[in-house]
Amino acid sequence: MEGDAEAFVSFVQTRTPALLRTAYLLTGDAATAEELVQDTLVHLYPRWGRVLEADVPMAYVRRSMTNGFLNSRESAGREITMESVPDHGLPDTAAAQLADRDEMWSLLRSLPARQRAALVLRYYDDLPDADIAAALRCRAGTVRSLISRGLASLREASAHRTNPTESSGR
Amino acid sequence: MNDHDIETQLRESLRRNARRAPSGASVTTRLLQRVHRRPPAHRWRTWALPLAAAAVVVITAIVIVLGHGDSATPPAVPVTPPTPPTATVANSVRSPAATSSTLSSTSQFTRAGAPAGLANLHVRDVTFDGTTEGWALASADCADGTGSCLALLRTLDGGAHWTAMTPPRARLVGEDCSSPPCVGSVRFANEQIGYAFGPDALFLTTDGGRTWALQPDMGADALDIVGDTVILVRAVNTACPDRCPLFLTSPLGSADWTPFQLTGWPPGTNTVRIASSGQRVALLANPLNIAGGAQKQPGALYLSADGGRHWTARGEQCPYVGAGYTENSYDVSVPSDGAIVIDCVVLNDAEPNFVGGITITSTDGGAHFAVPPHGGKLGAASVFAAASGTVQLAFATENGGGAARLYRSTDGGDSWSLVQTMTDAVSSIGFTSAQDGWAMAEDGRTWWTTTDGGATWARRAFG
Repeated sequence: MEGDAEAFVSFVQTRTPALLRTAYLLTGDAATAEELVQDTLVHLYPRWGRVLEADVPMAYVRRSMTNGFLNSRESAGREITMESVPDHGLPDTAAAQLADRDEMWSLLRSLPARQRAALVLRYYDDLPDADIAAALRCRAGTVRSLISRGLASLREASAHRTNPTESSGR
Repeated sequence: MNDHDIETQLRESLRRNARRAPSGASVTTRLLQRVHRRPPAHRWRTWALPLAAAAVVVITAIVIVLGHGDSATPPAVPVTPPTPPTATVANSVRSPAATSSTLSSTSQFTRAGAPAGLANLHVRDVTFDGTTEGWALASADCADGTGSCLALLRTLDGGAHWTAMTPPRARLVGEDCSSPPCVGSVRFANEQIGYAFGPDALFLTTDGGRTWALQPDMGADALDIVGDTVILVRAVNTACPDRCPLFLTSPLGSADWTPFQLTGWPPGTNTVRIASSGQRVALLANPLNIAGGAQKQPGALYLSADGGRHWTARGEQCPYVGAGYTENSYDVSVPSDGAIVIDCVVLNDAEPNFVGGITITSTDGGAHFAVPPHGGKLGAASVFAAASGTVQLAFATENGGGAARLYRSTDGGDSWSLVQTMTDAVSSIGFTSAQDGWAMAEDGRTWWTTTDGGATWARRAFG
């Protein structure tokens, strides 16, 4: 038990920066990312022995954090499904405005939360389908579909920005 | 710009923007201050175990006295179940509810809300035997509050009310499977005989779920019950040196399995679908990997007209649609009118991705499949089912939307019209008759039912 507490402190001290990076990519906002990481770890602390039983504790925590992110988006109201990715994001901070100079980042932030999470876990954390499925609580086939649809949306939106008069689709 | 370019740009953008994340120093300090005010919870569990177990015994006794012990007849008034005992934890596989069969008959919940014993319910798989009796495999908060555990539910009224049953001692596929066995699907032949399975685990109950027997060295990617026969397919048999597939049949409720052979099985098959109606069975092998690169192996269809005793290999039935595109069988449905309907997806060879789809239908037992004369224009349907050969339903999410658009065809897939946009992405859909069907949302809580062949849908919630 004391060992669990010590292990928790050690984990927090060594792994928080990595969790914050993923959280920032998920949320797109520094303050929200900090809140997400804190809430996740505080939530897991009482059951830290269980976390340590996992093959990869970091994967367990990342999965819990992703769930927390998706749940928070859900409880804040369903995201509005857009016919197409909007031309411009909605920057709410100076940092976000700077980041919006990165077109791909802007497009990514406009994707639905589950697609965004799937893309971040695949292309930043390099997780396999099974681990992403666990984080998103869905089947591996759904993960592949989310990633495929996410990439398609990014490609279409990027093409539209390059040539707004050109329509895409089958 | 192709997918490779997009992926490269995306990786670079993520790496670049990850550097904007806040440093961990201040977060670490605040975090440790917060948690040091509360010790790990399991320090009190040793004395709480007998107390919780005693509470369950007392409440169970009260329930029996009140006469709510008949699992076939849920009480009219929802009963709040007792707090599940942590004392039932065993073999590192935890349970969300007590193992007592008496408890399972009283742990009822309705759409109004899940009971405390099944908090955070997340349904993974739903199956029906007829239009009223069904089962759902789910995860729910563990009894000891340390994560999520496997849960099994049953309905006798088409899903209006659900009762918690004793689940197999397993974990849910896709959750923490570090300690197998793990299951992700459930099928019941009747109120007594059922199967819970995953790629590396198979459980059998012959007493309505009161006890579950783990079948040694078994697992299933797909399992279907056809009359008195069970058909099982394991796409990758781990006992086979070259990862060969495994095809087995068994008399219903038996632990004796007999292998059978299918010729021309596509290498790399990662998805297996089995659909049946009466004695007609369709088995679809799909090596499609839409996100893993251009894998253009065709799928393969196998048909049986006698409940799986004899099979005919029909290969890839989806038609060639033109240069630059590949069409693959993605899903198969055998509705109650005996038609066989295949959902074909079209991939752009240059940018391996869904770009659309059509359905093809056979009304002669699979001898011929008709391609819709007007091309279907279905879009990229990810979830599909047929209520009949002519009435077909498909969910598609377009332009990256998280919600699912439900399209319906009443002319065998020749034309499609938008029925409605669901509030959540849909993970599965099924029909128990030409009129009655259901669709399950990916959120694991929302689902919809139809009683008019998919023309209108009613939204429901598991908790």
